[in-house]
Amino acid sequence: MGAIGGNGKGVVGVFNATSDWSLQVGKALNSAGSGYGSTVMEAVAGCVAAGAKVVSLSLGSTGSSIAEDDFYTDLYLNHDVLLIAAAGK
Amino acid sequence: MRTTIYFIATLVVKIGAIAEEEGTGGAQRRVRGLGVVHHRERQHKPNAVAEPGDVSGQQPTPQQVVASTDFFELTHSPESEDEPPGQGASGGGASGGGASGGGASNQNPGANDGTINVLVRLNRSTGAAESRRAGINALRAAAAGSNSGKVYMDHAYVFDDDRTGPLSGLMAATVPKPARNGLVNSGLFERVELDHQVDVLGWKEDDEALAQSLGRRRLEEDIPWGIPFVQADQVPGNPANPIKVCVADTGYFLGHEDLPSVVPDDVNGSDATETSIFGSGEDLKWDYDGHGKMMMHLQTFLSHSGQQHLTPPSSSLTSH
Repeated sequence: MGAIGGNGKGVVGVFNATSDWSLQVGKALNSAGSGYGSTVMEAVAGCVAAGAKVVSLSLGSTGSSIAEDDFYTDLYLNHDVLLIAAAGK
Repeated sequence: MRTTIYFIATLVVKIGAIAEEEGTGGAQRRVRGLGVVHHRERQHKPNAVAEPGDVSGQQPTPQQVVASTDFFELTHSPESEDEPPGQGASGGGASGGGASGGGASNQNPGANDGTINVLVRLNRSTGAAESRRAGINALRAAAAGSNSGKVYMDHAYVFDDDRTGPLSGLMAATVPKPARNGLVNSGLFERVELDHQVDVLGWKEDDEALAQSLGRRRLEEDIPWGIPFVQADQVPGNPANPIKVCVADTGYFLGHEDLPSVVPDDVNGSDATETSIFGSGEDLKWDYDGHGKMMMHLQTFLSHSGQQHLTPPSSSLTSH
């Protein structure tokens, strides 16, 4: 998403000029790539607390819970947070 | 040759310009409105829980609160630090430090230590302080029933005016499996659910069978998933008769290592959004969206290992 453009390294991201954006990183999963629905929610809440309006979630699970549904719905409806989740590419 | 994709487990959020627009005041209001910070504030005054007649006209019964001094603090077992997912289960963000969760020692529900991870939501009804307090105690007691049991997420609140943020009332804990039904049947919680495992998308080379069994996407160089998905692998290539492929999409990454780059012999195009012509102008050389590049990949399928091509390498590419 934030890969720098024109530096000859890697890809170029959607936001490719560092002058007009910053990144908020919330670690939800461990270095082995795993976590829980609860850890993801806490990470997202931390980002939102820092003022995030857009949250990108490139992760998935075979399960789901109503508590998570309520949580993300609340963010969207009452906290003006847009959630972008992976759908495969 | 396989391209191994190993995602760092992060959530990335764009906030810069937005935060500036809202100003500091807006950010502070938002911070106060979240359970994460609320939780941290309560850690600074843990005795607030045990003060009779504190708020809301409720009559707190401190004796029901187990270990009130660490009531809002996380139980964290040092011995599980190095075990996934505990080591990465910290709450995110600059202000989310107070919400770090220890994670659970078991990787999956039904781990061989006989525990299960549950996600509960306390009764948020107004005036349900007693129910909430009992629920908190029930969950903590259940977690105490196993050596590896712990409450690893705690956004509990007791009094009605404590409720803030979307996380409020949520708790997660590792409990013995048999304790789950007791929590469900207690009637003390709005929800008692499985705190299910979440994984990054992508797959690791040494974990191919597991990754595929879980239905995660495959990221490979030789045969991208989209090729068999659109049955392109069933179409015979015919290098003697090159065909022209037109991709009407978001652009083209001229110079990409996996795509033809010789203009105009191999690549040509026009830009419907600009007046420039591909090859002489600049705009179409870069695909800021990436979708066009992806579509081009699917159609050119330039393998480095002699795989069958949907279109021969000598075909011309035109991007519109």
